[in-house]
Amino acid sequence: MKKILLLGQSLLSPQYETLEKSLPDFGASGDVIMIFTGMQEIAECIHATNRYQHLLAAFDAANIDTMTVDAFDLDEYLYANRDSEEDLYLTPTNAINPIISSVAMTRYKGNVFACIGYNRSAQSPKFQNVQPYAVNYLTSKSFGTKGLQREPINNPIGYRGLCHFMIGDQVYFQHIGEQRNIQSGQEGITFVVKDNPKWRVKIYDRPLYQFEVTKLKKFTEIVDDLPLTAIPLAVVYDEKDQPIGIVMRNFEGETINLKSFHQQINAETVAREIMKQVIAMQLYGIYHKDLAHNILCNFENCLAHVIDIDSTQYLNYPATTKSADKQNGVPIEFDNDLLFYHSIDLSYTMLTIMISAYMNPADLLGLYDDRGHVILDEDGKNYLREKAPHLARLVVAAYEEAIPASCAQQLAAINLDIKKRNEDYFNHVFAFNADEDEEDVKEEVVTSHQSNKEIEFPKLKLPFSLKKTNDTKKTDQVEHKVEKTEKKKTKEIFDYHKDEEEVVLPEWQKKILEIFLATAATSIEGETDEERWERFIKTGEYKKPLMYGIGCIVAIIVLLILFIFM
Amino acid sequence: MNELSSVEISEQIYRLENMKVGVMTNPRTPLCIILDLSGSMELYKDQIKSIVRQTVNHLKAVGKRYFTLIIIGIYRDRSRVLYFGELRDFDAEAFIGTLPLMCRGHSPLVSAFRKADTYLGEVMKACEVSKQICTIPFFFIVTDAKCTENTERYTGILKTLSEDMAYNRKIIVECVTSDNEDGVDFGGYKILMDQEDSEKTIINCMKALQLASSTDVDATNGPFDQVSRPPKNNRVAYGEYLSHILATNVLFYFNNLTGRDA
Repeated sequence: MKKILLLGQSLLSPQYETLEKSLPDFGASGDVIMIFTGMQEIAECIHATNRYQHLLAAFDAANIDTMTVDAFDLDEYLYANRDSEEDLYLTPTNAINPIISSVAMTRYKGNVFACIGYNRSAQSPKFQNVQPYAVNYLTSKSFGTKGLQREPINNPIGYRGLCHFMIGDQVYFQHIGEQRNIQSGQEGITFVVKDNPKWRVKIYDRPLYQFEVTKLKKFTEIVDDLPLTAIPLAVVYDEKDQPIGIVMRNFEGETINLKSFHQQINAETVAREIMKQVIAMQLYGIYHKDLAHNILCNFENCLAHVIDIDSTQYLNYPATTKSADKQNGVPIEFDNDLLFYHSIDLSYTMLTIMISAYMNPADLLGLYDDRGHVILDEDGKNYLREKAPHLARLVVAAYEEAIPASCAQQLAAINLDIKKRNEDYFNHVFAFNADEDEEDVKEEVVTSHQSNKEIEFPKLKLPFSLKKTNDTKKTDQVEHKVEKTEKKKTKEIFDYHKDEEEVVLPEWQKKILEIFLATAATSIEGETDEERWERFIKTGEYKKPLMYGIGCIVAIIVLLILFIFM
Repeated sequence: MNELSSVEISEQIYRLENMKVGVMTNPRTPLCIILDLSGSMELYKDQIKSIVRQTVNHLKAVGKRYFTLIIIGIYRDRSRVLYFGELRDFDAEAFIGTLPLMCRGHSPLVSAFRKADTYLGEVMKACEVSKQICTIPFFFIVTDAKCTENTERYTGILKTLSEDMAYNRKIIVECVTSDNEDGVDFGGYKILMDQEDSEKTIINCMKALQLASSTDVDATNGPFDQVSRPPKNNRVAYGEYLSHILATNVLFYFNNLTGRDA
């Protein structure tokens, strides 16, 4: 008898079909299917509730026993049962490497058999024990993302000439040099497609590797499944039919700013939308390594769009950029840059985003202690407990005790906190507005719970205003001190303790930047002067001109000496 | 096409058992290739030659590793051992030259599998006797999988292969065709021989195996307590450790280089 854990990604094709074919085998062996708490909500994130219900019925029909486990996610289950040594089987998955990463990071001792397909000759599912891989993942010199074959397959011609891409049956041509409003990024340039503002083209400024091109082509297979995400719609080719970029959906919105996100109206609701999108991406095999800089928010419509998908980790293809989300406070025991990005690391990134819906994370997350765990500010904790008690519970456990809170768990928590806020609001309304028709208000609140939508606040006679302001020193913000601890940093990570005001550069630094800002390579949209200066120093752009300058001066001096003595 | 007799095979096993092994002796990886040269494989002769050539050339380039090569050919309704010995002594071009001009006969894959299992087992036993460290074997199946035997006979074989894959006892690579809906599914890493880019895929696959086998990519002790490399004098533990690295690396490099999942 096997214990088989039902994964969220098994609700997607072709894993779902493989699972359906395997049910007679499971039924015959008397296997038990374990289902996560909150699986219904996970299915909702990928619009697979019908499939989920159908699957539950299929379990019944095949006489397969099911049980609900007290976990929201694979990582949570592995971590909670890490000492068990029991064999664990998983339903079909679309990517094995994140699972191996999870087994490695949670130190699960038992064998973990991932279902990697269906053997139609043997008419049984194919399982592979990934436990032996976990150990090597942690320690190999060149295994994992470090051991990638980086052989470029093209010779980009630069930002000029004609490029083309195909969507549906139609081929579209764009002349790169004639585009207006070209925006520079870290990997190349982007521009909105002429005559079709719904699309944006990205042209890389470096050669592409084979695995990248294969990954980009695979992305195009799921464009319709994630309509709010900037998934690559097609690969863009140059005049020599070399792949040079991608075309994706063009979204407008405000780039998320974690320091001031909580000041926005509907921040909680937008945070929840971000979480649903990230969960859906995760189930499709997309792990984003730079979320904090790549979410566009529309606060009026409560929408969020995750962008910069092309450089993410997808299925078994690693990310092409290093993780920039290093400010997520992940405990040191879960931090490993060599591995494929795993859901524990992602969950800490999402935790900072969820926190930012209620307060500036800098007011809560301090430096690392000697154990490699982030120290939480006491006042900040109390404030978060007051604002979002369910989320606060997860936050404290995640940072102080290094018990990860999966994205699904965080979604459940934020749902409860929104529900609680609505109930508190209802209680206020009921208490202060006895002359209002309480049945109408009550019904509206109940309806909003059922639909999980945020209710619209009616114009009410309240003794105080509930509307958030842009004033940073709000009355409902707790005044607190950030302790500057003298403890030795085991790992330097945070620069959230910078002042909230933007640092003003000295004049001489500004002058130097002005000279170099003339080239597109130096200029990135949205960067502050301070960030630009830091990058300027880090990338060493000053080195070449400095060397030339010194060289010229030395040459002049030598010539002068020779002239004098001759 | 030269078929080895049981005496010649026994001699090879004897040599392995009596090999002088010391602490500096490199580990051994057995490698078995089942070549289906039956009538239905006539279209894929070039691919068969390429597979043999690329496998041998890439694995010969792996340093600090012994490979025992076993080639079992299926031809004229019989399975025959065509080579049994050290990979470094094997001349791929000479071997290719001895292959029949035309593929003929049926595909008794079951007997070929049984032979392969038997001989792989004997190689590993010989390593136990000589105390040489031995990893899990590579197992190549080059066939269009259009079996001509009773499919029920395959049930036991497929069950064994399935368990071997699940428990990482073998690394199975099947070089098959895309139109094998009615054929046997062996459950291993797949290379499709009838695609336009099959030559490139074959080369990339062998490159993946070469990288995976290279002892340059073996793991070192890491920062976490439970990870440690066993001492070389613990032959069984070290062999298991190397086998795990081999299986892990194949998984990673196969996907990375061929763009295909397991």
